[in-house]
Amino acid sequence: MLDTTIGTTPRAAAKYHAGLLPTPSRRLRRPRRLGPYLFVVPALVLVVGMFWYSIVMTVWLSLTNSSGLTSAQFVGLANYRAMLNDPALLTNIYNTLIWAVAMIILPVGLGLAAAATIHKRRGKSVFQAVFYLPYAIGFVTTGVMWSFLLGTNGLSELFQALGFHSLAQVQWLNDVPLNTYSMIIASTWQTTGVDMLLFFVGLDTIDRQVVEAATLDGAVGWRMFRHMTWPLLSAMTRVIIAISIVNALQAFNLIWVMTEGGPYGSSSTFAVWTYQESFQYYKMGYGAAIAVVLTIFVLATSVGYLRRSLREVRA
Amino acid sequence: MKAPSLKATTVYTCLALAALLWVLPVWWTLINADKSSSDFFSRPFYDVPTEFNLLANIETAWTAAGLGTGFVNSLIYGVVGAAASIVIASFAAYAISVLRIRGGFIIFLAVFSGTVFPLQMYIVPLFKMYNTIGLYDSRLGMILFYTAISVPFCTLVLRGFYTTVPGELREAALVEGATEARVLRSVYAPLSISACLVLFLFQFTWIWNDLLFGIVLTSSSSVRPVMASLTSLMGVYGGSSLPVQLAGALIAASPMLVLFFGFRRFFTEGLSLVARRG
Repeated sequence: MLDTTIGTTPRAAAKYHAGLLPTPSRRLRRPRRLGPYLFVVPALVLVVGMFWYSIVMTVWLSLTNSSGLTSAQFVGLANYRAMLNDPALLTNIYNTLIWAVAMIILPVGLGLAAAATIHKRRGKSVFQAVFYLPYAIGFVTTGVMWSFLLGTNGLSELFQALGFHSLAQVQWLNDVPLNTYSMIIASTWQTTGVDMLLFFVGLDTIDRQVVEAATLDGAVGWRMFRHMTWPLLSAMTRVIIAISIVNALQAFNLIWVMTEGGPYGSSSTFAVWTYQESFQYYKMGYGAAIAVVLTIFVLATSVGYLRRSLREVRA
Repeated sequence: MKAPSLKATTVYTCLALAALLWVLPVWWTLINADKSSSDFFSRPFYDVPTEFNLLANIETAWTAAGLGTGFVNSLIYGVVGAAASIVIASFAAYAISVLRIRGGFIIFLAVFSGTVFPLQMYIVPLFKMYNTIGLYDSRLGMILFYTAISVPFCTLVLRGFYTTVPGELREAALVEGATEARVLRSVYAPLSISACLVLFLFQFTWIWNDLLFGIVLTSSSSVRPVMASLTSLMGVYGGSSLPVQLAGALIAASPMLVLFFGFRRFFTEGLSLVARRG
């Protein structure tokens, strides 16, 4: 219904209905109907040409023995079978899961605690700026900073000076599984601030009258949080958790900067593993298969979230 | 004046301790980025520097280690990529939500969901495609990629924004003889300027912070974006001293710090856009 009025001004429509204009011929109307489609062409070409093409190609490549830029042969599910026998698989599954679980609990929990504590308190803007600072710094820079702090010229010297000699001996980025935990701490330091800001957005939308009524009924401190703030924030909490899982499953930047997944792949995750197989060992078919498995993980965990956002954009 | 309650004191003590944990790594980075190599290796890292050496370290990182080229590259990629994607997305959003083209929702889904997959799904085919068509290790290729990856989110936000603009404005402009492109430029674009600013900051930040595609799609330091240059500074072959690496980290973080603290309100708005998208 709406298509027929495209490009037709109300004035022209009025003239048309008054019989002042001849019925537009098919040939005359055609460019007008095609015009609007030209508007979406650049966006479609870029996204389909780069991303949809890549998705299809990655699935295809995962079924080949592609290596570098030479031509590849179809090998069926051989890459997936090889993955099942690869000792790296368990390490990568384990690390990826640890990242996902830790990034749900630590930054989201700390961000919520910080937001609920600072909200409407004096000095909010100072604390907000402090916790937010690492987010502004970015993942790669965070990685460089923490590599220094966790290296031999870093915190070890401080522990030594404070008399914690055993702590000073720890090689934070070399000892397994401490290297993964250390990077999770660095990541928590970086991400907590943004989760806090998102919770502020949620807190701002809570109806003030509801809060005031609860205050009159004597709800303060922990009780206020437990029975008012937490339930009212649940929608925002779900969104933040969904974003955190999806991001954590793809954790790459910080790990790549701090350990490159090492030593000997001990701190690798699926995202790092894909990159290494594809671009360090040039086993691109195998790398593509790892990417496909990672995608299945991500889509499986975010299917509810995606369905909800699809409903929302449709509305 | 009433003395602060015990509870308030406890809360502020905890907050202050947490704030200290958050500030100390930044402080240690700052003081060590200032040290000369001999100063750094002769005394523990938490000692304050004995001389002012920061500018010398920044200069070494900027020129000798090649971070300056990356910095300029990323500025170009960020500004051009973010701006181009907003223009492209505004045309698409206009056609979808104002002109309501047939099949618009399917087109929107095709654009929007192109980038919901893990980034690892894109790296191998893009690397191969870029090699085949000669875009590998070129600035044009990087600009095209960063533009493309920013388009979906911009389309999502602008599509939502355009539906809030009253249709009468467009009809009035059409009566006066404006074309649809003119309506978009003179009516919708000015109205969405603050949404576009939020999008610009957001996409610029994404592009600035990108490491993965910087290392996948480029190899020479004259094309590499800033984060890829920064990591090669600290790699085994980079061999820069720690103070120079930290000075490099400051260089890479500086535009983000300026943007984040200068436009904090816009970032909060952008964040709520991301959250609401969920």
